[in-house]
Amino acid sequence: MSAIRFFHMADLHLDSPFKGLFGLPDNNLKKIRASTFEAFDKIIHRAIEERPDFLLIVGDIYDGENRSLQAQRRFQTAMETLFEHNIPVIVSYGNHDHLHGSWTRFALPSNVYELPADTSVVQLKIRGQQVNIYGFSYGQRHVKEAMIHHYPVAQDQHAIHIGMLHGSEASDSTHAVYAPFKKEQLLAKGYHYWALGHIHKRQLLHKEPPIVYPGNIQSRHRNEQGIKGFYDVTLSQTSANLTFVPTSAVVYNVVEVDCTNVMHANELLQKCEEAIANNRMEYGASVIDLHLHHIDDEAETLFEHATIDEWLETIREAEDGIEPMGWVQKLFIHKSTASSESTAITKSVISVMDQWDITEWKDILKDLYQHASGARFVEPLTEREIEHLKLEAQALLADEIQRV
Amino acid sequence: MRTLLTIQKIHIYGFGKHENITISLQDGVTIFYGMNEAGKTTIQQFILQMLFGFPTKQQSQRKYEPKTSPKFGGQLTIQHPIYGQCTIERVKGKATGDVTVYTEDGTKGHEELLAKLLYGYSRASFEAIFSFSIHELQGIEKMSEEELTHLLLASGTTGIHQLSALEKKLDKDAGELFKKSGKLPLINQKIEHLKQLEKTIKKEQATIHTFEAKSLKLQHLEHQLKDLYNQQKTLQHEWQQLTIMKQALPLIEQQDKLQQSLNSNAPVQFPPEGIRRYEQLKDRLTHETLQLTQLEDQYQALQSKLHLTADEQAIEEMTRLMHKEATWNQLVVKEQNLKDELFVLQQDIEAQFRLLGVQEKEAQAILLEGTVSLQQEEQFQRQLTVLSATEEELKFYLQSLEQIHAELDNIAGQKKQLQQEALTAEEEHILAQWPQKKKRLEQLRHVQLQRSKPKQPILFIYLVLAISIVAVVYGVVEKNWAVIVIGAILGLLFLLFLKHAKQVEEEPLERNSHLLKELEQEEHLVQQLLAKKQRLEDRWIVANEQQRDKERQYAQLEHKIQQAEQTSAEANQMLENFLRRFRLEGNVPRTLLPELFMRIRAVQEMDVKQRSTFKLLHAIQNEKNELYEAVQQVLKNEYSEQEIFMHLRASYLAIQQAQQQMLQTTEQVAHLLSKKQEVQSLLQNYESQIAQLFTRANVNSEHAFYETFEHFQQQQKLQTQLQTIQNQLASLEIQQQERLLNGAQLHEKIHALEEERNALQVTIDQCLEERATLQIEKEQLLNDEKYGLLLQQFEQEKALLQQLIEQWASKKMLATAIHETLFRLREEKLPHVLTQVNAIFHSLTAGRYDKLFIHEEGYFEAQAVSGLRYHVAELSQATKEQAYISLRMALAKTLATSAPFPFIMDDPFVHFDRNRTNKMVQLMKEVGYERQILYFTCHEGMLDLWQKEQIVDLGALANERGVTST
Repeated sequence: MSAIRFFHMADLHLDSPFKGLFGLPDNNLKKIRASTFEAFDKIIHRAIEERPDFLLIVGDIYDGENRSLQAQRRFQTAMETLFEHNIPVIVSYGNHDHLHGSWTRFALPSNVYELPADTSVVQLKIRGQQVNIYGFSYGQRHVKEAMIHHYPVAQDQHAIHIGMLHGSEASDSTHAVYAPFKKEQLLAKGYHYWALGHIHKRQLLHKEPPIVYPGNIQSRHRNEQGIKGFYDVTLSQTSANLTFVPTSAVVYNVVEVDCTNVMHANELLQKCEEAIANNRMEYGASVIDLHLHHIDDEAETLFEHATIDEWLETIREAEDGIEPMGWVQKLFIHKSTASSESTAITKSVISVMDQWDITEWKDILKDLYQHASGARFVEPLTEREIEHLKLEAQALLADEIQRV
Repeated sequence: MRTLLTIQKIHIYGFGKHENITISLQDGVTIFYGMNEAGKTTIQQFILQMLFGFPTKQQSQRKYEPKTSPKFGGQLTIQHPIYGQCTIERVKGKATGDVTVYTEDGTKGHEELLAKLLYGYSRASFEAIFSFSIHELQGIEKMSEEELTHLLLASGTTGIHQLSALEKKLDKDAGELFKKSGKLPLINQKIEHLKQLEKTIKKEQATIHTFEAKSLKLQHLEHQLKDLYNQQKTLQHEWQQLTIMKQALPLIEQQDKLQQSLNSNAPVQFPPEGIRRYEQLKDRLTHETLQLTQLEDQYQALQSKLHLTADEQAIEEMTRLMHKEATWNQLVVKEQNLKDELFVLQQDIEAQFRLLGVQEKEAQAILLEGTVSLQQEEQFQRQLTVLSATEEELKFYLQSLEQIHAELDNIAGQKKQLQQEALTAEEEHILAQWPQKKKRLEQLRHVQLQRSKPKQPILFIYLVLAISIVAVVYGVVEKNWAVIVIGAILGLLFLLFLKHAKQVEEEPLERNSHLLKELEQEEHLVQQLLAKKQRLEDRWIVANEQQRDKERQYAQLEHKIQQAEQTSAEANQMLENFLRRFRLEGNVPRTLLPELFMRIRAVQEMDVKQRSTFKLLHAIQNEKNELYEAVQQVLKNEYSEQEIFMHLRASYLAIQQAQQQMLQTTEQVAHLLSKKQEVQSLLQNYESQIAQLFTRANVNSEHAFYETFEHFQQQQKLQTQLQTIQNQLASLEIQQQERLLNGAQLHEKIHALEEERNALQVTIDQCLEERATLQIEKEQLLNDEKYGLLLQQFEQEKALLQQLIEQWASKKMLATAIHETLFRLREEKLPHVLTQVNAIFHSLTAGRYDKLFIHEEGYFEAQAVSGLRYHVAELSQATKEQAYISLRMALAKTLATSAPFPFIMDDPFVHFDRNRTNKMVQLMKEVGYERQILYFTCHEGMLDLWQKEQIVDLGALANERGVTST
């Protein structure tokens, strides 16, 4: 029984915009824009170098209706390159690139198997080893049905069975539920490997057999932190060996800076630069949330005359032009002493806020959220958002009350 | 435990004008009295600044850093309801001063602890309620509703001011960020911008959606273009056809014309190449006629030449003689040779005779007749040999004689030398003495020989000694006395012998040996001399013997010479006799004698040869003369012997030539005859050919022939032209139906076609253009990053908007929260406060006024007992102040537990009359149970109303520094 080797990736979201960023200079913007392509190119190069037996792409190659022609052409070109190297690719389309879309479709070469909307099997013969790959593509944008029921139970004793499924666990409520499944349901099919997609965070749901979310290949949001990539899997009937291969062209990261004993502006800057440089060494091009910790009374005076935004600007200026980029998206100040002004009255203000329930919140902010034309561009108000806003408001109160 | 916060002790290290002052305070009311400039305000400020910090640079309050003392700051000892007795020390340090709090239980703290001690109150909040002067009281009518409310609401909270200010600020900020129906606020702008962006994106999306349509359209266009190109091709073909037709039109016309002219003339017969052939024939005819006349002339000329003939016989004779020319030449040469030979022989003979010395003819003849047989020759030779042998012998004897003579001389020399070499006299003397000396030598030798003998026994003696010793030793060992004795005796003997031996060797040997040596040397010398003498004597004897031998030989030789001379003379005589027989006188040289016979024989031979040669010459001359005569006959002319054959050859050649010419001429004549016949037949042939040509052309004269040819040629030309045109037309491949068109129709049709073609081209151009545009558009779409960029930009803007919204939301929320907090305070606490206020106001005004209201429009109203309401501004100054104080006091009351601070008043009652002042004091006393009151005044009158221990006289304090008033 020979082992087979394949690359498992999902959620390429080629040419999709990076969310939650603003104020970037052009060159950084370009880098970020190209990041999905860059990450994808890395995979293709790797495939040509390493020559895996096949590639699995579990959904969301493009970003819905927003797919650009360029992205499609890039994908087509890549597939043709793989065709030249005789590497098969099994593609299942996900909620973002479902089959119902009215977009132009580029003809893909014959090494690419596009799974249809009905669950079906692709059979490959690799060095004498029968490999059955099951999966489906999203027929339309929303597949709420538990598609897992349509997957057959593995029958052939000698074959390797792989399931491709773009969807989320039934218990997971943080994401919109698509093609929901339960771990037990997957295990019941008796497959050797479950190649999942849709969740952008890398996760290993089960070890033997592996049930794997490889995560997306390039983060596109500040909630998608850390290094992204795909899994290089060597699989036999008895064992599975997973190697994570990073592909991120730009990493979204949190960088912490300990500002103990910092008194002068240049010291603070130097510390920040060091921390960013270390991050750069480790992760390459990055978008950074910079957290300054242990800001004591002495250091606090640094922020009395210059606002946080001014500091952010200064740090960005210092980092400008250094390659690979280290773009500080946000600066967080953590003071070592709690605000002394948390007086009775401020407490009562905060307690007033605490007492508000979601409807009251919505009522307060309705001006904006009910704004006829603007509402569409505004993120919906969630509990989390409210929690966040509450914290913001507290900080604002603590900050502002001193200045009045 | 008491619930009041009281200041128990003030200790100033240095503050303003005060330096190192300690003041202990009562619970209840404390009156600080002092004239102006006594430092009342300084104390008041000291307390406030100790609690809330020195003013920072930004703050407008006065700083009290002492001018004279380096110390700045002091201590406050307070009694705190929770922490018990605490000491707050504040000294110069950072901007607000360095503060240290020492609590009862010994813990130490700084700002944060102080803040707790002060219940989180800031100076502003504190001052709003607990510290006031006349200024605050006077300002009551100017207060806005909010300020009033805030003032009233200060129950249990600080920072109402700030909160309310913050609320305003937040509202403003939020308003700047977003307004429900605004356009300018940032978020509104942003939303507008996003809308625009979205539109652009939609547009871009639409463009992208056109991609497929464009692809299809492109395909469609490709097809269309293909069709159009095909159409164009057919049109082009048609057009070409028509153009060709257009080109062909004049040709056709010409064709027609030619056809007509051809048809109008009857066809003419003419032999092919008739003219050329005719002219050729005519040419040849003339040529041949000419040749014939020439041949005739030649024939005549040759005929006349043939009459000359040649003599055949003479030629034959000449030929025979010509053959003999070689013989003739041979004869001439032979004759000459023989003549030369004869002459040579004659010369030789004469030379031989001269050699032999025979001059006379007679003698010569005899010699020629003489016998020269071998016998004669041998005889002569023998005599000659004898003579030479004799002479030889004589010569030999003379030589020997000479040699012996030389040898004799030699011997004589030798003898002389020997005499010289004889012994000298000295040597002779030595030899003479030698016999005596020899004897002496013999003696000496003998002596020596004897002396060497006695040495022999020594060995034996030592042996004896050894034996003796051995014997003694043996004896001792063996204890054989006999042996010992023998040994001893032997030893004695030995000793004796030794003694004797030494005596014998006494004699002098020295002199003898020397002499012996000398004599031996001399002996050696004498022996040498003796040998030499012997040798010389031997040689002398030998020399003498040799001399005698040689003298004998000499004599013998002289005899022999005489004999030889005699024999020689005899031989000479005999030879002379022999020669005389041949008449050769003695003048024949001796050396020639041996060859003599040979020469005579040679002369005789030469003579014979001469005679035979002469005979041969004669024969040849005869033959020559015969031949000469024969030639002369033939030539019929006299020529010399040398030239005759040359002439013969010349005339022979001439005759031969003439004969040859004759032959040639005859041949030529025959040739000419045959040629003449040939030409004549040719002429006939040509003439018949010409006749034939004429008949073929249907004419009978040359002129007619030429005319006919002219006709024929014209016709021919027309036909060729026609053919060319027909060919051209054929190559143009004109279709039949078009051939039927005339010029105008054709032109029209071409024009129509051209128009159609142009229209088609326009369509094609349009298509091409469209295709190019589409392709560019498609390529642009494929390469266009604009959409991606737009999306990114959109996201970016959204992120920005989100942040703005967050800011706005937090601001809005906070403002709302503050508003609500304040509202609650007003709604819940205000009525409670107002009840208190009314009670106090009622009592302060001695019942003149019942209540204080807050008017709907936000100002205070006072309700008199009568029920009338007055705007606060309408009240008297004092009443206003009373109202204000009522508010403060009432507030303080409601804050009894949450803010149990002391009141600090700076002469607020200056406007009060006595009555009111009393009321006020009454109130103060009441309040004094619940709260500490520090009252600063410069009015002496006040002092009477209080007990002495409650009064701190600042003037006195200044005088007695460091001493407390109590």
